[in-house]
Amino acid sequence: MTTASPVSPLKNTLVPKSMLDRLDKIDKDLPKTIAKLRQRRLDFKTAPLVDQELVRQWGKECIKPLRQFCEKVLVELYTHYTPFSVNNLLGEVTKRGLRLEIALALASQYDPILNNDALLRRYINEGFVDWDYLASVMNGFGYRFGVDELKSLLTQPTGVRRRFRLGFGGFKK
Amino acid sequence: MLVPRVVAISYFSGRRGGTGKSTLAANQAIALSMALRTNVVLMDFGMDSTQTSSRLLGINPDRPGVLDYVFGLVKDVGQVVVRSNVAPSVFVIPPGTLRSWELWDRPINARQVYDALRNLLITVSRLVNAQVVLIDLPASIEVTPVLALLNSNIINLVMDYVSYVDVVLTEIDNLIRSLIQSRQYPIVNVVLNKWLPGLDVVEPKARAFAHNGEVFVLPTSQVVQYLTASQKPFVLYKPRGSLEGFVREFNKLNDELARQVKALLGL
Repeated sequence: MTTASPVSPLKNTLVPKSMLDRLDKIDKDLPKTIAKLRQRRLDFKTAPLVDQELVRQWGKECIKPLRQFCEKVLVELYTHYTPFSVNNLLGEVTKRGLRLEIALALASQYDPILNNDALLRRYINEGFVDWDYLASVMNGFGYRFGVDELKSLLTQPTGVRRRFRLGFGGFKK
Repeated sequence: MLVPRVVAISYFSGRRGGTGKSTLAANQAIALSMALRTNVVLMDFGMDSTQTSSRLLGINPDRPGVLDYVFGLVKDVGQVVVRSNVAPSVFVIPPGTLRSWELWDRPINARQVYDALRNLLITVSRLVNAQVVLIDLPASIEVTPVLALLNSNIINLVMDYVSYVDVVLTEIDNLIRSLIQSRQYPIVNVVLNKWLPGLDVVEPKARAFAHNGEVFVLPTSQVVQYLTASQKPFVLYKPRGSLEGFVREFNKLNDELARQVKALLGL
């Protein structure tokens, strides 16, 4: 009868010396390295979130008396929502021949926490406008329009409107 | 319709502690802020006096925070967010004054926690104009922190570089799948931290768990360990010794995260 050779079961688990040397080399002069650590000069400047050119271009689609209002809402929208989703929304409005001023007024009241976009959706899908509500929104921005005045302002034809291209590409003349 | 201009990135490791989540999250807050040139918020869930990421960003964590807001002790988001003392473009929401054992008998359900976290995320991003919110989760699978995963666009699974990493990742993957269900699946990156020479290669095993994301390997660095222990973010220092190799790999992770954020924001 032969007996099993006396090989230690630990033999295969031993770490080769060359490997231990490699491990030893990591941070072998740690105190020296730490003593030499120096802070970097870093730039924490942030870039503006809003592309003003985009705001100006879309703003041109609004009638003159409401252009400042439009630009104010556009800056808000581009600050708080992805440019892609804002452009999509505005593109959809113009594609359907709807008024950008009305869509912007409704979008300005949107709260992502409440997800209260029913009136905005209804305007885009059915063209429905609650003029009383719209006038109160405009009042909130400091405009003193009566309902009839606002209605006549935003229902008159705007003349030749430029064609839009969706996305960041901007506008076609 | 209108999509909020914010990307939420979580750091998660299931129940495994000490994998480097807080060290990475705090340093990534600074690095991403610089890479994207935007304000970044770090939401620290380091409950029960861990609070590593808040401390790394120079914040005394003994103040109202995430849990106080979620459980209605503080209603105003402005009271829980504070600017970092080491990087002015980084804001911090510390864990808060509640301890995990105080949450057990609170009359609040999962839906309410989810909604409160979502409100906090959106409101804080608007308040400080931050496009990125990093969520540093604790080594726990309690309801409150885990529900933050549902509010995440990107999940970074931070694991120790160990040969059985696939076993741990399978557990976590199952947890995430059961949470996400029919929702849109987030991007999942796997970060294998504390690599040492001579270890069995495990990246291929980890790759199966990186959904639409990448696998990153970060080497062990005693310099990083030293700086974290002394509450200093390593990104603020010129790389020396083992920090050099670590930062090289960390930058790859940061570049990829910046790319993922830009893609999600449509930039």
